[in-house]
Amino acid sequence: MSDLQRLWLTALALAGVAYFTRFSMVALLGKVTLPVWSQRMFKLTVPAVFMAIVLPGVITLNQGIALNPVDNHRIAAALVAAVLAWRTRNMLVTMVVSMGVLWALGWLVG
Amino acid sequence: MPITPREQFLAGMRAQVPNFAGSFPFGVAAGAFTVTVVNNFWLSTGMQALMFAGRAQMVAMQLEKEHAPLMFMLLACLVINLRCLMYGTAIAQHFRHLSWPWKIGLSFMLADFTYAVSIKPLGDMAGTPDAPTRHFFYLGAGVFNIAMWSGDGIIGALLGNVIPPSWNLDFVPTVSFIFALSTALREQDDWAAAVAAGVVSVALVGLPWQAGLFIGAAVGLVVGMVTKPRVREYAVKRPASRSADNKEITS
Repeated sequence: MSDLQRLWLTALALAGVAYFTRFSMVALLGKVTLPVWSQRMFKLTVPAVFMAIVLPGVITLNQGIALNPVDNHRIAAALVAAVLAWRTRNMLVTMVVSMGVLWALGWLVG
Repeated sequence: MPITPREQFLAGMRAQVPNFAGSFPFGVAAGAFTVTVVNNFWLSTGMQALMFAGRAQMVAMQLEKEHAPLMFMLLACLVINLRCLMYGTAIAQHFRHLSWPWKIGLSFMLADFTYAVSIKPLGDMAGTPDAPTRHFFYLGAGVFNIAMWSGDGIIGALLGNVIPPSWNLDFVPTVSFIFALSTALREQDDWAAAVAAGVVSVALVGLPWQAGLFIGAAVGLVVGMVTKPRVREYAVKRPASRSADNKEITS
C-alpha cells in the first residue's frame, strides 16, 4: 500500500469517527441520555487536550526541551499568540501576527 | 402563512454569513498545514471536506507527522469531537419528524457554527406552524458552512503548496489551539485541567508516538473533573454576554 493510499484510508477513518460523534445521539434519540457529568467532561476536553498538545510543542526543539527564547523562537511567538487571542478574540489577527513574529525572529536571529 | 422551505433555507444561509470571519482564517490555516503533511492537494481538500472537523484534522496531521499509529489519531479525533454528542442530543428533537435519509444527511452538518446559529431558531419554531419546515433553516446554515469550510480548504491547500518552509506552517496548529484555549479557560476547573495536562505532557516529552500527549490530556481531564467548577473572580466581572455564550458552545 502506498503512502497516499494509506493516508486516504486514514482520512476516511477519521471522517468516520467524526461522523459517529455527530450522528450517534441523533440516531439514539430518546433511548439514551448523556449523564450529567458528561457535559462538564466535554467542556474540559478543550483545556486538557489542547494544553497537552501546545505546551510540549512550544518548548521542545528537535526532540529536546529548549527553554532559551533566543534559540527557541516558538516561545515568543506562542506568548504573542496567547496575548492576542485573549485580548482581541480575533483569529485572523492572532494567526497573522504570531506567524509573522516567528518568521521575523527566524530572519533576524537566524 | 407558514414560512416556505425556500425561505427557511435562505434564512439559515443568512444566519451563517457572519461566521465567515471565523471560518476563513481557521479553515485556510488547517488546509495549508494539512497539505504540507500529506503532500497532495486532493487528499488535503478531500480530508477537510469529509472530516469537517478542523481541530481534529490538525491534531491528526500533527500525529501523522510524528508517525503515530492510526489508533492514536482516531482516539484524538474522537475525544476532540465529543462535544458533537452534546450538539446531537440537543438538536435530535428537531429532526424527530424526519426520515432516516434526512437524519443521516443533516447529522453530517452538525458542526460548531451550524449548531450555534440554528439551535435557538429551531427551538423557537418548534410547536409553531413553521415547525415542519424548520430543518430547512438548519440545512441552509449547514450547506453554507460546508461550502465555506471546503472553500477554505481549497485556498489553504493552494497556499500551503507555495508557501516556503521558512514560514513555519507547522506552527499553525499551535496558534489555532492557543486560540481555542483562550476561549476555553474560564473557570477554575478549566485551569486545573490545563495546568495538569501541560505539566504531565511536558514531563513525558520523548515518549514514542506522542504518547505523553494522551497521558497528559487524560490526567488533565481527571484533575479538571475533581476540581470545583467555581467561576473565578475576573470571569464574573466580565460582561453578561460571557455567561450567555458559555451556555451556547465552548469553541
